[in-house]
Amino acid sequence: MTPTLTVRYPMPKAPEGYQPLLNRGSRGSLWLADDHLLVIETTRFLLSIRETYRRLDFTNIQAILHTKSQRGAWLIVLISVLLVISLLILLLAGFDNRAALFFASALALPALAALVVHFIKGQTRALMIQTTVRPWRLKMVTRHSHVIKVLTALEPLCREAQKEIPHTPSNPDSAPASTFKPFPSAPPVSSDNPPSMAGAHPLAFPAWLCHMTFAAMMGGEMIWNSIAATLLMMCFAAASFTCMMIAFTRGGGSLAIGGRGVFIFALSMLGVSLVAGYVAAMAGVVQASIRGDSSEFSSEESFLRAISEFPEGSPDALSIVAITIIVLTGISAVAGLLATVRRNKLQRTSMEPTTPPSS
Amino acid sequence: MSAGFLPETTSTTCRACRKPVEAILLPRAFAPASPPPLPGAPPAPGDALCFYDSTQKATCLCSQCGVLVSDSWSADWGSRKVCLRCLEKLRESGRDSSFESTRLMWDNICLLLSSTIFILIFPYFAIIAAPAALVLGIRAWNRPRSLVPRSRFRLIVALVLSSLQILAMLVGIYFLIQAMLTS
Repeated sequence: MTPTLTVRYPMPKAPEGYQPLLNRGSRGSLWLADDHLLVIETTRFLLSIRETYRRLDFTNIQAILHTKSQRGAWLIVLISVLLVISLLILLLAGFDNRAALFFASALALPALAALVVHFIKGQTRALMIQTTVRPWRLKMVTRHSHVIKVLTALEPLCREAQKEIPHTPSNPDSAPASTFKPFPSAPPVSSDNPPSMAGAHPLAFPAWLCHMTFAAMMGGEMIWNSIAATLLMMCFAAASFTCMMIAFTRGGGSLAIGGRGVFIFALSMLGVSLVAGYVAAMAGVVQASIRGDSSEFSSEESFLRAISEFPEGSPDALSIVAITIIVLTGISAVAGLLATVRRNKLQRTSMEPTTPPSS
Repeated sequence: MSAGFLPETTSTTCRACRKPVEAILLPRAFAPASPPPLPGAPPAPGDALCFYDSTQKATCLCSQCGVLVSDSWSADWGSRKVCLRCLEKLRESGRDSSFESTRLMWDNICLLLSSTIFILIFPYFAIIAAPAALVLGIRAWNRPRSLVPRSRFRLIVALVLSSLQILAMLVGIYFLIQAMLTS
């Protein structure tokens, strides 16, 4: 009997006819009915604005696939960046500076808490359900524990629903049916047209160029210090950010690294560069204001002079910021190059003829 | 392997990213593809005709509207058979939740609009957002919320917040006018 949904008071915790399988709140949820799996996905902007419902019949599910995802790695990268920024603040302003200690703690403590929670929750995983029509990625399944929960409940139900389906081939070692394509095929490439940056948007190179120029100008502020330079630097930063966002949203690449992974990394480095620069400026301002120098902020030059007036023996603020930004940009450039080389290598490998299964 | 053995789990590598993938294969993966049936012989005299195509024989009854339809004009929806026109109408009208594919969360939208004064940098947006939240909240009072049943709590909070903001704006405008008149 097809389950019907009715709303009544007091509110039931589950739609009528459904059993809860996985409820991630605004991230989506999974519900089990007698003959199908209900997948509720949400479109979020702070709160879920739209819900999308998919019903996957147990009889149509061909395979359940799961693999390790990159979410955990990027989370650790983000947390590390926050910790580096906190350390930077303390190095610039001094460990005995209360304001700097407060800002650094405000960044470091939540980051450390997030790191602990991440390790407690376990490895990040991605789960896909392959049906006769297409594969569906269940975005609300993000951890190993979620995968175990879904597999434990779903697999027996699918096998029970499909027990009448004739599936035994005369040769048990033969390949699955032609409709079964569990893994995304590599994009068609030829030896005449090898991929240079397959999956990358044409704005990738301009984004990198603007980012490098921004970083170089940030370091060059030690030599050329003027409002025009600052404005030009901000224009390059904005151009780099815009190119990266367009390339990120429109560039190809799904689960594979090298496409979106490059831009996520570059985006994070750009964000770190901006944040590091302005946080350093804030630390300098805070320290200057504590010393009572706030009346000198009448021009940009005096502002920069105030930032540079650190206790004797401490490194120059702008030098530290510039060197940090250059180092981070260099890391992101190397990472981007490595990812691109790796992706090209994967594409060339996928062009090699595969050995058909022996009959 | 013995005859009929079906490997339940297999580990392999994705061809695109080379990451290891665990796959649980189900009997459907090995079932031969069944193409849709070709149109059979023309209906004989006395046979029931498809409501939408008189050249085809009716094979089933639409569970929604009750007309006789052929296999080409019907679709399986769970355990029900519906004709394609009823399927389209049910999906568009959204009255039957088992046919819904998407739904707007009006309570969350109203809550977001009524909270702009707290979450956005520019609180002046509340001049537009608060009345919008109030109007949308009243219009969406009886609309279906999430497929997972939940109360109107979010909607009530949104209406209260937006009402308070509108009241504060009106009081502010009153005192502003008073100040302008006295000056």
